[in-house]
Amino acid sequence: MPDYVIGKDKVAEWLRRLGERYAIYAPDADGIAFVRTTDYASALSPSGNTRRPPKELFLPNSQVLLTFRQGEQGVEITQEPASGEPRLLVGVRPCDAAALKLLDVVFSQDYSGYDDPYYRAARAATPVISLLCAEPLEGCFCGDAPAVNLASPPADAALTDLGDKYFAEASSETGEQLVAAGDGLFAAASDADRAGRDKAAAELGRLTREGLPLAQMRERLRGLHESGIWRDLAQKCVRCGVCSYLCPTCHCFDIQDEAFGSAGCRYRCWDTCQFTDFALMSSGENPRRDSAERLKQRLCHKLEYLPDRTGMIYCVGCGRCVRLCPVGMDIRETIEALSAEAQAAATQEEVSGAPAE
Amino acid sequence: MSRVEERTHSQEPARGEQAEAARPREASDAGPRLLAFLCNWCSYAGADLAGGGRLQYPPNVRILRVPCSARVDPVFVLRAFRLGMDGVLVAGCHPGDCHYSKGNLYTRRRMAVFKPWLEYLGIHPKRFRLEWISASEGQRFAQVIREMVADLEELKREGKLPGRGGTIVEALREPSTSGSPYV
Amino acid sequence: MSDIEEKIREEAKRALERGAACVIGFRQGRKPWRVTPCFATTLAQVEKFVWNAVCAQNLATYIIAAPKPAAVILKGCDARALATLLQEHQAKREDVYVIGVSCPGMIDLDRLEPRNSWTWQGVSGLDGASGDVIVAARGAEHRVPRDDALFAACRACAHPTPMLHDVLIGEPFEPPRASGGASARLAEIEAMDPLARRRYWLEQFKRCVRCNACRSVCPLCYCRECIADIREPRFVSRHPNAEDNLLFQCARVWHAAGRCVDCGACERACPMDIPLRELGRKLDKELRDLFAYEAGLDAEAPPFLAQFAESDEEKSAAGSS
Repeated sequence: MPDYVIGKDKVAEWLRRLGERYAIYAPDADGIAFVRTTDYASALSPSGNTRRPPKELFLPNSQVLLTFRQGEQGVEITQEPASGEPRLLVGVRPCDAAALKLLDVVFSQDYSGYDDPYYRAARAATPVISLLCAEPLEGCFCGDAPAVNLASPPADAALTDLGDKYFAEASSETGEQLVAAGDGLFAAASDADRAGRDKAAAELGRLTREGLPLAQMRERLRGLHESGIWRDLAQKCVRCGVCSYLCPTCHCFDIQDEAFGSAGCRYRCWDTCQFTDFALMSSGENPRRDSAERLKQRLCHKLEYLPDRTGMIYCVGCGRCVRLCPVGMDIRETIEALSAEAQAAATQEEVSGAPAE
Repeated sequence: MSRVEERTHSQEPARGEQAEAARPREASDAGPRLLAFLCNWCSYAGADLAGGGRLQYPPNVRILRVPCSARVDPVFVLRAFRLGMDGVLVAGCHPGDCHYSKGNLYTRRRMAVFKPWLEYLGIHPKRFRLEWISASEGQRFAQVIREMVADLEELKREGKLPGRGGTIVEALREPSTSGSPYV
Repeated sequence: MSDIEEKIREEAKRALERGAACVIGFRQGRKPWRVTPCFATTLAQVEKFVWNAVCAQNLATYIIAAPKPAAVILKGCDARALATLLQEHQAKREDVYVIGVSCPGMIDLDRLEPRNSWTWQGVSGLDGASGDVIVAARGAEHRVPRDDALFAACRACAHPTPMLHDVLIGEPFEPPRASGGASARLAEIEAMDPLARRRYWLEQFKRCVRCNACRSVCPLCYCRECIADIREPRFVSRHPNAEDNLLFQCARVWHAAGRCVDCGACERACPMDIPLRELGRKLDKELRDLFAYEAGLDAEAPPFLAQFAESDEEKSAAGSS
């Protein structure tokens, strides 16, 4: 893929030009969320990922799907148009860029059999420029996530800080167009630049590698569905939605109708398998009554079921759940405990010739 | 044939009517909206007496009958304000006269803590009132409604009533809700 | 803290030996500055118990569902939450063995992270037993005055020593800190005019994502079906806009009126840093000023708002405007 460099002092001009075509979104000063900005000089910051994942620009916490009204002739229903305002995300971290690709799969018609026009329109209208973090945040483990490519994240254009300049790799036609908008500001990258990029990516990978066997969990989890370990691991979970809501790959949503008097709307909003009533049926039956069941669901969904269905592992090591869980559930610890349990069970099976309890 | 035409008048406000009562009205509606929680045994009867006696009071009030003022969880009051009511009245029997002997005594303590807190939440004190109105106090009921509506109209003139937030659809389209509030 | 840690482990072992079904305490997480609840059922597991400046979580949250008899490590605020649970008959006193620990206040890691001094990758330990907090990072030590590092709730705490306990570890503390923090902010908000106040609250709640972490960590939010989850009728919309988010929080805070002990768990849990405690502090003030009542001090007393007295007449809100 063609790659370039751009001096740091030229970035503001590049973004200014792009700002004529797109509404530019970048992390805010506190690193909380992607916000609309015209402060192009500060758009690229070296810190870790934002607290709120950029998934919310494509799958918002709330989105009106249709509105209805009691009219003269009966109920009038108006579907919300799926429009894509041209936006440009600047500074998406490699974990979040990978996560968007993972979301693309589950929102695709091939996967679900259903076209999600809202997600699709938003994604089509929003190119992504990624930026490699200078330093990881506490809890980050992207170095262990198979879905994450630190050197060449799946963004339209991927930037890496090389000190006084950024390395820029255009990974798509849109990426090329983004770079072309900076005509005169970019230069071709040299081998030394490429080496610098590779070094930065390798270093970040080293800092965030904890040796977690994410890719092996698919097989290891298979034998653990009846295990008592889930109960132990889930005992302290208080069944809130922090992990799933702030996870860049979690994507469950609820659809609610709310009406008042003679008008109302249908909207979708984030939902989480961690809520007690997520699987609750109108009969009162709840197949996932305990936290143990729900923890198993979330982990297996991300590390076993989705990998089975898509070949990709739905954890990008962004560390948000680790940093923000109010009770200190640490998915790294959980994965290690499950992995150890699976291996112990396998060993026992080997030794005794019978499947472990 | 619309349901509204077919429905016959009933003494019992149906739940749908109660919802309708609190429905945010169009901008062209005149006057403040006041929701009154009236206990069945005393204040509702008092209101009925006012009606029967043809006592004049503004039509802006919508009545929600409850068995006892203690049934009113202050969360209902918060919800009423969220849905766009300008004022809320909770009325019960005089302490000592509660049909269930002690209900209003709980209400009294509860509302003593709730009212100042409501003000802290940004609801002007004139927008919420607790009153003891007995079954024979038709006059008093009418008077309280007149006073509250007048107070609300004054607040409106002084620009001290916040915007209603419109219909639920409009509320749901607030910019802060279309995605990240940061967006 | 290590001798408190020793004593905690001893008491926990004793509790197990005397028949406790489990002992709820903290163990170290993956890094030295992370702790996480631990439900010990064996002596070996009790060996993992730690006690340090980041043991902030309110373990009373786990009491209702814990296998009984349960032993639990509780700080001052946690024990007051238990007192409220006992008032409401959510557990029997004889089923809960309280290993009380006097608490000097817990440290907010976010306050310890000035942007350029160090990165968390480099922190090897946290020494904050009392006095200043010392963070070892990148071969150097950084000193942060303890008061600067405490959680807001800890700064305002008036009861750091658990009144309810079966055994007390650590010297009883005098409330070391003036509650100035809470009152000053309260006074600021009270001084705003109503519309400005409303705008202030809506601004805070724009960023709520309705994760329900506040509700989930609160020991007193134990309703099997929360009013906010009831669908028919819908009291609180699921839609995360500022008005409905505020309604959700007000419903929660109101339902904790006279019960909330200001442990600060809700505010700590909020991933969006919303100042949740500010709502409840006003209720606490009204209860104190009007009725001289403070929650969580008497496990035998009936719940305050489930009672009434003749003297309530003097404070009645009826008729006033």
